[in-house]
Amino acid sequence: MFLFITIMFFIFRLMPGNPIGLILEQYNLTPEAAQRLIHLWGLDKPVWQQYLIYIKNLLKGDMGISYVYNAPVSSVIFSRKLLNTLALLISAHGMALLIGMILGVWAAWRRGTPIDIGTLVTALVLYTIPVFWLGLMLLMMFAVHVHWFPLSGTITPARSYKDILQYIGDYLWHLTLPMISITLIRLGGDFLIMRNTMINVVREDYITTAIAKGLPEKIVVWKHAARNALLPIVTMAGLDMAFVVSGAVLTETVFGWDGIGKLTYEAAINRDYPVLQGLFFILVVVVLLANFLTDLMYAYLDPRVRY
Amino acid sequence: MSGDVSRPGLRKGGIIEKTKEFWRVYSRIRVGKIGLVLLLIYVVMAVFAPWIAPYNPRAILVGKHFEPPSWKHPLGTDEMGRDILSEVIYGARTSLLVGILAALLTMVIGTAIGIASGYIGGITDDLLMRLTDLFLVIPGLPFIIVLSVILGASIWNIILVIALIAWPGTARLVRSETLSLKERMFVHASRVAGASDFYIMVHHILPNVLPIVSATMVLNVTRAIILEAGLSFLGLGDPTAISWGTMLYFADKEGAMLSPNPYYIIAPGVALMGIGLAFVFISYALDEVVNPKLRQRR
Amino acid sequence: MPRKEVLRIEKLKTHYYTLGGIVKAVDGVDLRVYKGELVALVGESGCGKSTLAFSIMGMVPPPGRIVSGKIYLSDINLVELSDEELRKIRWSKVSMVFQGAMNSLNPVMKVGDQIIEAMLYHDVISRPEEGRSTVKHLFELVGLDPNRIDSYPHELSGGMKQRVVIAMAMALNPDLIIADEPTTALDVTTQAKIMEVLKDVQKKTGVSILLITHDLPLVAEVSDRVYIMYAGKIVETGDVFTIFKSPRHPYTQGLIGAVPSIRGPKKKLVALPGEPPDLRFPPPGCRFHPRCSKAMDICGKKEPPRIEFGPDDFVSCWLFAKEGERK
Repeated sequence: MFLFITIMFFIFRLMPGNPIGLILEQYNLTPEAAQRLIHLWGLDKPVWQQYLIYIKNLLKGDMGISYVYNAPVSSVIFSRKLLNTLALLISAHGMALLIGMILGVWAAWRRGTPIDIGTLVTALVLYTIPVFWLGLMLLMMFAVHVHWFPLSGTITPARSYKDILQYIGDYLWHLTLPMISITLIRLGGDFLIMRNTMINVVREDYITTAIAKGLPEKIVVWKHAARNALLPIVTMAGLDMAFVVSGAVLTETVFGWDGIGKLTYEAAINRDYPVLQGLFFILVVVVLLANFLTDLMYAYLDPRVRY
Repeated sequence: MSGDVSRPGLRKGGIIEKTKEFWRVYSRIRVGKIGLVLLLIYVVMAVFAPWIAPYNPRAILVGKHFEPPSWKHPLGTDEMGRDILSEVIYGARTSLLVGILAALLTMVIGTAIGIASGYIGGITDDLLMRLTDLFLVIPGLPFIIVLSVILGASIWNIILVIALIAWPGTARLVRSETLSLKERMFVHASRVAGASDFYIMVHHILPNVLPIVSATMVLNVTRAIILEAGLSFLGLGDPTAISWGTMLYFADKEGAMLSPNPYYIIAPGVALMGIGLAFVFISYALDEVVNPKLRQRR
Repeated sequence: MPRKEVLRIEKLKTHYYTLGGIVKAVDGVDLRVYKGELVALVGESGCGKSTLAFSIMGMVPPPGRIVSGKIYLSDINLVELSDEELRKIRWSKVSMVFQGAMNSLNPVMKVGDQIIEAMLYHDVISRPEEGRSTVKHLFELVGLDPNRIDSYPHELSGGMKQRVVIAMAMALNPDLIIADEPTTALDVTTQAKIMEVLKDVQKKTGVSILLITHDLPLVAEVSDRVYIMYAGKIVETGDVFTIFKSPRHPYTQGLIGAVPSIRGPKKKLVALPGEPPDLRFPPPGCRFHPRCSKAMDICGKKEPPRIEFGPDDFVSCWLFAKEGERK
């Protein structure tokens, strides 16, 4: 973790393109003002000193000041953007996991039938579609040709709301298309993993026993087989966090969804390293946290594992 | 199996016989054949692009702006009046180049680190695995975005950066294979016979991990192609190369969605999907051949 | 006094329709089990014993299916039942103890719940808590600590798991337990213990047991009657004394000869030559003739007749046919 922060710090310092130069162009600052800014941000000190200051501040929870937003990094990240991203990712991944699991279990139980093979091929196709292209296609179909959904953003700009419900409705309306694109893309992978594990679980002796016990088919499938098949997909969901973030960057850019993914992209383009450093720090914490949660989930699902 | 004591699998029998046997199993898997045919189409497109493409993909104003499909321009034209079909055909070059080279580089880094880590063990293993874990938690695309901003956008940098983020998976896989191979008879026999560690790693371990690595490599090609497309779509691709991702970047930016030619958006995406599907199908079939355990019992 | 029949199988045929051909795993089997009996079904692996068991349970895995014949379980013909009716019969009338007891318990469920579940879905109880006292009784019956009810399978030893499985088989008080190689994968002392438990349960409850095995010393020790199965057919049956003292079928003789006996007169050890036949292409006539030391011309041409010596006492072999019939 510590090593990671250090590597990140130096990588960002190595980035070419002077952030001050960019800002100078944007705001037409006088050289004196620029000097003051550089001094304020501590950019006139040697790199190692900057590093020590950074670490010291980080331990205090201070991640520096954004060059572009001219606000503390923490307030740039922990804002509506984070909520927007969470809303998008949690809803989309929840849906994908749920549908993928159900379809996977169902297809594995009917292995080899035309329905199973049809679902399998669909899943492989979904697996290979680039998420941003699916987003573009959805926009073209449902926002341009028929005006069912908005083109971009999280809410309709400059609209006044009668009550909170109307606001939530508007938000969900904007959420639909980006959510569907991530859901569809993830669905393929989740389905494939679930189907594969289910096929192996179904061969186990305890499944034969469950059938012999005269349990209804539904109970055998869901209570005995599916529960045992859950373990690998839970692991994957946890390990895939790093991948999830990548999808968010592209989807948020396509749909103009004002979230962390879009922020990452813009910060990289504008060379706003304090924000980038902060983002990477947060992202890695999130990934580690997800791994930890996965372990907890695992212990809950499999009594053989205890911590 | 008596083959355990003798030389590792790959070298036994003539290469021709091996290939024949491989093909016999592979050709029974229908998706595998579909995948190969698809891939062949793309390879032909990439290699013979100058002869197949009706126009120079860079030539502007061969038609009007955003012309809808016609006999002259089967997929219409873009905002600069370039022929989209020609651009799509040339795009296969970038995708295949990036996909295959990045996957190869991933394989080389991952296999080297995996074998070294698994075979040498001890502190080397600890350090290398720590490094692998570190790279595993780094969010892929954001990291690639940052690196390509630092290094500058060129095809070679993109390949490098993709390999840099993708190797840990392969390294893990190779390490666990190496750990089990290390304990096998022929490795012990070779060590007793006085072979050096380096010799054993190259001549005994490497040939035996290759089949498994090659199956994952195919999947890495797909991943690399999609990553390149994503990066280009964000406008961070090589501006001198014709890439499907870059096409989509301009299509989105220049408002192709509202233009009379939706194929500007549809065509590059379908091309991407097709090549992804080709490699996924091939990898699925390879998996069946390489891991016979997965083949249906009875 | 006629004994009460628990299971009667008539001319049962169960075949697997595979791509490589039809596997005639069970091909015209007659078998009977009476109340309170322990009947052994003996044969080499791959002779169709397990398929027979699955046929009785009504759960032959595809591509297999019951082609013809009848399976009566206390006067109900199972072959004619619908899936839902079969499900209700399963476990309540006939239960099963499987080969790998270790693996027949679901690793993520408490053992007690796995037993209670069977009662729940057969409407014996309506809420899980009602089953707990029954489970504790069952545990006592098989010699397990009733406090083990909330254990997970991985917390138990192999022998304890086996006891759980037997307790589970008794959960709905069935008429018949099919025990399919119940003691394989256990060490010898545990094996003996488990068989003791099974016999003990039988003595206390009067349940009938169909023991499927290839372990002849075990059969000699515990069973009342024996069926010898070879390549999908019953070749000989009789009570345990007849079978072991004076086996009639050359196959039975071979099997028993192959087991070294410690007590009794020193017998010549006759190993059975050859391999059991491929059930897709069984040899014509008597299926055993290619391996039989006493084979005659006719054995390879015509199926042998069934020679009855009494009720539930017959052999299918040309050696015992009258001189005139052998032509």
